[in-house]
Amino acid sequence: MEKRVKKGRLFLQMFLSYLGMLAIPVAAAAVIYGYSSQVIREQIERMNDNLLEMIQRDIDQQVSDVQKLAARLAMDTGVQMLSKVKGSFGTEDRMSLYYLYNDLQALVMSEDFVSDAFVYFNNTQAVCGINGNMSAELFYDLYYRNKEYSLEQFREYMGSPHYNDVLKIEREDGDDILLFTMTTLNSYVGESSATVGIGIRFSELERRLESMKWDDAMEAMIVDGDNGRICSGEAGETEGVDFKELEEGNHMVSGRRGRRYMISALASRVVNWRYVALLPMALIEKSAEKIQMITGICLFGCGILGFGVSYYLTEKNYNPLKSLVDTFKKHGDSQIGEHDNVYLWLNHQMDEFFKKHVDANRLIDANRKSLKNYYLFQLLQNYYGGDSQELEKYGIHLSSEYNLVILFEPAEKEDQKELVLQRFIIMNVFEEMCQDHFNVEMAEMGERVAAIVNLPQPSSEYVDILKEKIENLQSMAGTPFKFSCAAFMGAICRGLEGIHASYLQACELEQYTVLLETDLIVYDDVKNLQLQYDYPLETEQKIINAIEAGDSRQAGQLVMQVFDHNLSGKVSADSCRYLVYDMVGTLVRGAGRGGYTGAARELDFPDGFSMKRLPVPELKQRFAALLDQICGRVLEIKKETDQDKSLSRKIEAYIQENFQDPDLNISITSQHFGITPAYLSSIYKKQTGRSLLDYINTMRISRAQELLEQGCSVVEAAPMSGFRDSGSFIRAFKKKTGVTPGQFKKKF
Amino acid sequence: MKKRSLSLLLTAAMTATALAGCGGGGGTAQEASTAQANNNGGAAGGTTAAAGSQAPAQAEGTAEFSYPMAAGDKLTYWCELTTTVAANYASLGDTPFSKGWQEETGAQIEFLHPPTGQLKEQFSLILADGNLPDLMEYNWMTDYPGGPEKAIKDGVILPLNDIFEQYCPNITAYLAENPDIDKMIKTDEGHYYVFPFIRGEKKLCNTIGLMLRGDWLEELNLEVPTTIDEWHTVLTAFKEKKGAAAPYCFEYTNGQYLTNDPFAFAFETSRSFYLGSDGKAHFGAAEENYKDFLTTMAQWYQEGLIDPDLATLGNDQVSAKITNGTAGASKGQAGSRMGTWTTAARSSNPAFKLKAAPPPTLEKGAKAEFGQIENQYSGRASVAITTSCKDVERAARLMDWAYSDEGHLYFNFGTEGESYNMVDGYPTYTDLIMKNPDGLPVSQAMSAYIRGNYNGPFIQDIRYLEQYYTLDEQKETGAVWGDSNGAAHVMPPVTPTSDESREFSTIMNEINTYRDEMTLKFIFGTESLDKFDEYVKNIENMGLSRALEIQNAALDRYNAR
Repeated sequence: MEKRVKKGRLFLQMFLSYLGMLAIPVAAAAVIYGYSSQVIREQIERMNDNLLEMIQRDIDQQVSDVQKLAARLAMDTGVQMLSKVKGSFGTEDRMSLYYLYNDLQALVMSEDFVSDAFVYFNNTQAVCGINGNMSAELFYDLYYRNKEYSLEQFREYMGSPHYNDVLKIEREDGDDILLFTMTTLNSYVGESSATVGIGIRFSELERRLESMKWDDAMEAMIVDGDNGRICSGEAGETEGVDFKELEEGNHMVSGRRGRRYMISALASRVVNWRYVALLPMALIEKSAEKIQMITGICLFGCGILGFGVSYYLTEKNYNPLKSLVDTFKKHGDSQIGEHDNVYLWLNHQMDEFFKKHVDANRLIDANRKSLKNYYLFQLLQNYYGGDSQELEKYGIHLSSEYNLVILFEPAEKEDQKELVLQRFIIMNVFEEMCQDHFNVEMAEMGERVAAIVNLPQPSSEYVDILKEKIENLQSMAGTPFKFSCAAFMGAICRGLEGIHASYLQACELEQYTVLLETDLIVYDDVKNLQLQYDYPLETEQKIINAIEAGDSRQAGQLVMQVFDHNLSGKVSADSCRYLVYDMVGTLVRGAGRGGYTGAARELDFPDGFSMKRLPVPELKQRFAALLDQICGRVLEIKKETDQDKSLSRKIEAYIQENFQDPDLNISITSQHFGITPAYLSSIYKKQTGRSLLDYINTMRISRAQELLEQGCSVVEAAPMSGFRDSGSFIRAFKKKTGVTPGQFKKKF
Repeated sequence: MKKRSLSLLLTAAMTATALAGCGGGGGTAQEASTAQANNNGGAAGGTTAAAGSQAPAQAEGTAEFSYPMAAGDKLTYWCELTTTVAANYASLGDTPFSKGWQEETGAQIEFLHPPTGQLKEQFSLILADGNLPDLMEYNWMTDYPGGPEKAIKDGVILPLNDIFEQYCPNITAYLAENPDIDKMIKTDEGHYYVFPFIRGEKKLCNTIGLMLRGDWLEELNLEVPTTIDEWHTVLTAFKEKKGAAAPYCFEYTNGQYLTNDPFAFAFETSRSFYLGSDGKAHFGAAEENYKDFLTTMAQWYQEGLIDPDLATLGNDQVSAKITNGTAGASKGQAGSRMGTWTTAARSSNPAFKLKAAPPPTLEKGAKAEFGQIENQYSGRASVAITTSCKDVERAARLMDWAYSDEGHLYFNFGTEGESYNMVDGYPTYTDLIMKNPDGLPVSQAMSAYIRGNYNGPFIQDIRYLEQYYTLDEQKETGAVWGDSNGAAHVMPPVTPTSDESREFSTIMNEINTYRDEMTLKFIFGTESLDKFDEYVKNIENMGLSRALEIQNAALDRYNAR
């Protein structure tokens, strides 16, 4: 809700400021409108004047033509002569009348403005017109019958003198006529003898007025001297207009029914008429309205357009801001306070954001590093078959053909923090030192640091340079940082796949730290060490015998001799390890001979030797301790089993003598020695480690083998080697040797 | 077979009529021609029916064609708007007649009319302008300077021979069956030039005659006058006993009443050319008989038997004077004059009656040798196709339709069911015409729906007239006025060559002007009849003999057509 209110207020502010701006075009439009109305009005007035001038020129021309015509007829000698005839025309006048009739017809024919022409002869009460000669009465009845003037009045009017007078006749057939009259000039005052009448059809006048109007709504009319309307285009609307006040020029007159007209008038130059043009104000207003409407529409359009544009611009400029705010609102925890300035808030949010962003960048950087480290790790740990370009993607630059791996092993093992620092120092310092010469990629390999040095040539010169660098590093580590680190440098190997090889070599070198007691071990230096250790069988037998005898001193001496002989830097580390295993084997065998069969199990050799490299002196001590332990035990066992042993020997001797007897078995043997078979078996087993039956069988099979080898047949060999029958012989033989006696014999 | 039998039937009918006509006496050749004409008129329905039935056959022969035509360009049609139409319509195009006409034919027509009374002036203007309407209805025979052949040579109108042949089966068929009319409507060179207005029957040609107040005659116990003397008696009685200021009063300013003056005919003369018994053309106004006629007229005028304002009399005055009793005798047509006046006068004077008087003679009981009769083809209201016409076929088809059976009925009677109904095969006008619900006079009602009551490019049917005349007096007129040998003395529609024509009109303009002025002077008495010889000499000096020569040459050519 609040948000909406706030937004509403915002829009209201915008709208108000927008309205303020709009006031400028509104004012401009008002001025333009006012001015154009004025112009239109003036234009219309001018057009009215022009119209009136046109009407004046045209109608005046026609009227003056009519007047001339009337004057000509009035002065015509024929007419004047006929006008003097009194009473009625005689036959002698008929031709003159006929000629006059022809003349009038010709006149009317040539003047299309004129519809009628006649001469009224007062003395004869006759008329000569274009329709023929006839009595005034007939003439009146046929052509001029109207309500306003009766025949008498018509006669009176025509009988009185006229000069360019105009009479309007509303004929019964509706075809009104404007009659111009002129009396012949020879008439005496009050005794006019003939009057010329020229008729103009109203319809013709009206047609002319109509045709000159420039708008259907306007009216054009003719007003006579008595301010009576003579003729207008359309009657009716203007009846309330007072024409008396009409002056030339324009002014407004209120018309009937509240309709207002702009009236213009112009006086005729030939008659006492005035031509009047009435233009309804509505027409001007209509034009003005049109402008008003267009102006209004334009303004409205401008308003809408302007609003649209400003709205668009606002949206365009404000909305991103808003979306920014929204974004921060969405992703951030903080909400914008009601009165907070959006910009300040945003600024704050931005600061935070960039801080986060920097952190994130660091994180990403670290990630990238560890990722790179991972790939380097993989590169080192495993055989890699790809190409260097693929590695480039991970930021690993190993473009040259040859590689060499150096392993650094900081001495520190306890303090992890210290270790991290040391690794960091090693990585950075070494990388920096080598950068000038080679491409170096540093990777952490557990506690160690591996450096892959990319070399263009498998040259020993590089190795020397590297050695120098490593020494520098070691001395640097020693002096300012106070820690030591071992360095193992593998051989230069070709290609990326060589990295793994080189790494393995370097790893291998670690063992030599013990052996060589130096901080820098180079594979090339150690690879040529002896693979054979010198440990003669003779010596071993001596050691075994010494152990069997329980003589730890002599055994110790012998062992030390062997170690001293071999572990003096001439034998490779692997060989040394084998030697140790060999020695352990010797000790175990010696212990077994001495009757201490559990030695291998009880003495925990793997713990002692296999896993860990031990420095030579410690190794020696261990062995010495072991020997003491073993010998001590052997002596103990000797004392326990000395008597019993003679029994087993006796048993074996007895068996050797009697095994060819098929009846010999454990019971017979026990009867021979006077002890129970079970005890006999147990004691034999205990003393010799094998069963008595097995011994008997072994003896028999061995004899049989001998016989078979000597060429005896199976059937012959069986009884001679103590088997009751050949079937049990074959069974036992196969069981012991895995093959049948026949098969065995065939081998030979 | 059918066609053949029909023509056989027609031939038989013609022979029968010709035989019947022989009983009447008079020149056999003339009788024959009259009989044939009568046959044509009398059987107008029949002949046009024949033409109509023939038309499709002919159309089949030339091209597939049927009315109404497909829509096309508007045709412009110029013609005079007759007064009975003008009374109610601003243009012929507004009438139901023309709407139906356009609908039936499929042609769109834009009608153009000259202002009333300015036919010839407007015609000259249009020719001078050169922008001609497609179709122009005019009297091309007499009113085109130089005649119709000249009009063709001037490139104003088209010769229609090929057009008739190609597009006009109906009129072609009609002309084939009416060789005397065919002779009238072409030039000496054999060119057709108009779609003619043809009176379908001779009876239709007796249009103008004398009439006088029947009720006064009865009142004064007088007979209808038949001789000049009887007329004198009657007119004197009218003047003296009925107080008529102008006992005899007629529309002197209307040329046709002057040319067709029964009183002149009584003296066997005419103010213009007539065909003498010798078969030659004569100019009546320059002959001795004309002097006799003038003598009588001058005497009557002097005696006040003729309207003193005679020279300038128009229809307005004559109508007023006849109806208000100022005049007792006049002349004119049975319809537009006798009928109109009677109707107008009876509103105030129910006893008013006008009676037709026969052509007067000098001797009591003699048959009038001269009499008013028009040629079946007078040249009037005939339509030419101008050279401006772009779609000649359309124009020709439009015009030809009027000469078909269907068109004939339409032009004379309008639309069946609307303006007429067929009652026993007789087209009878409906009350829409005869008792118009809007109160229009019959002539005006007719003019809205047909052209049969006045003129136009079609064949007029006598049956229109039989119904148009409602008064008994009117119905008599045909018989009364036609009782003369007038047809023998009417100049056939001859056509001088264009050169002759120009020369002829130059001569005749002068002669006619002089004659008209002198005639008035003689009648008014302003000029003594002693000067008649001098007058004749003047006329001859003006080149009358040359004019007669031209007329006779044209007559010879006409007879040779």
